[in-house]
Amino acid sequence: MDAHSLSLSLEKKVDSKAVAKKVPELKLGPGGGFLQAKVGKLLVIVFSNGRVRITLPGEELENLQKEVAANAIGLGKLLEAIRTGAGSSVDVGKALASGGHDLVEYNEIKDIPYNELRPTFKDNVSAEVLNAVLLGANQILPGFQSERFLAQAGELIGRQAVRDSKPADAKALQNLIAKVVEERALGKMKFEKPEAGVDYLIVVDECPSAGAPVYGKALCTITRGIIRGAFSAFRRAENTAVHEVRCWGLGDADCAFEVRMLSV
Amino acid sequence: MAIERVRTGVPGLDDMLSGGIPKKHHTVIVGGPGTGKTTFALQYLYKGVKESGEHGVFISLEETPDKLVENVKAAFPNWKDFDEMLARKEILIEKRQPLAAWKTGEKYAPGFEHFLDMIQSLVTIDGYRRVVVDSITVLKLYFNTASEFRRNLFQLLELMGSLDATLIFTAEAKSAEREKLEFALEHYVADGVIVLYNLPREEKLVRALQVFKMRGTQHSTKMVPLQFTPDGIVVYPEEKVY
Repeated sequence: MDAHSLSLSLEKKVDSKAVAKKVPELKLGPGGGFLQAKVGKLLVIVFSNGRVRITLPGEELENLQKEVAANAIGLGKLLEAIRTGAGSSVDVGKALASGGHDLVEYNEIKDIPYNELRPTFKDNVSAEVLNAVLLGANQILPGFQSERFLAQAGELIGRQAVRDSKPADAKALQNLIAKVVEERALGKMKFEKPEAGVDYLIVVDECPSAGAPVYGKALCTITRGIIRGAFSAFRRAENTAVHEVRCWGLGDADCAFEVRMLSV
Repeated sequence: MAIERVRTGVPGLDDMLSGGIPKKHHTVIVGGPGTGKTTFALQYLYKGVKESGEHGVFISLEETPDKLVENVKAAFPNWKDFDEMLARKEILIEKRQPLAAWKTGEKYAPGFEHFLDMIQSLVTIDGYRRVVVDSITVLKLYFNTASEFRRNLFQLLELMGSLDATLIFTAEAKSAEREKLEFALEHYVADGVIVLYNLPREEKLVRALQVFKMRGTQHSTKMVPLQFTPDGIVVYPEEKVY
């Protein structure tokens, strides 16, 4: 399993609106499904089911742990304020010191929680329906087959979009992919500067996996398929590799995809 | 219920296999150097188009497409329509990396995911019904541990089992001789194992074929002579190997 964050449980549901009033540092996160606050470079996210996630955006566990140590006092104060505001009796210092995680086994996904702050995505896609589709695939198809199914769904969408719109160049393709993803309530996409050896870095906020527990796996398989399908159709070549390198399911606070045109 | 079969395109072999390879089964063609594994696999695709109207894709992990085409045309000069099939993409020959490396921390970890993406798209979107991977031996080299290879191989085979295509993959044997044949994981997990030999007989090598395994099939296990003719590989199931 892979995880890019630390997390702890307040062991009770959180009334997000009430806590936000008591802890002024907490603001509504992108998409409105959770509360978040910054401590130094750290991002602290509070979910209404009582989970608290601490992440260092764009970084992995080792650097996160260093940053937590460097901000121990400020972080401790914020967590204590959250605990009090939520009416929890958990020892947050102890939970954090144990370097804990509330990792959930991917094969035992029963629910990807959504909450009262965001019952739909972009006001029109029912989170419950999306939840059921994603979970239904996982429950019916064994092992990794559900990911294959979801990747295929995305591929079909991405390829059809290119066939319909016929983007003239790479820039038009990027705009098309972003539009396709946003119109289908799968997130807000932007293309950022990639590292050497990577052709594109695509970052997505407000994706359906926002708020998901840390499963140790990337979850945005449909979006990954859309990106790959669009690039493959545009280039008329199958040697396009797309990998989700950041995801809420991995403990990040956004989702990011690396795209590479593989050499032979 | 009768099992739907895919004809191999090798005259004589389908008789040994009660009509062909069961559809969607995966078969490994094993042989030592120079026994004709790659050419066998290309014939599976060529005859697939010619005799069954099924398009096929050849995924090479090592040799370039140009070299493969040059070699097969030299071996089978009567395949005059082979170039046209390539031009019409009825046969697609691609050289591919099986793994792409993704950055995890400071390291790059190899990912097999895109290989599965590619095969899935070639079958479901582009409609190829016959798939060849040449060779599983090269694929193994990309993985650091045997368990990692095993896990990824099972994913590939599980995916192929759900797609509407029939896979052949080639595997290198350390020797072309029967007595020195050793079996590896890929032979045990495959639905079918067909072995190609070059048997020393006096001062020459004699080609032969034997079907070791074909699940769901009453098949001949006899070692039979195999010949390269201008029209392709032919197997003689009624003959003995001398």
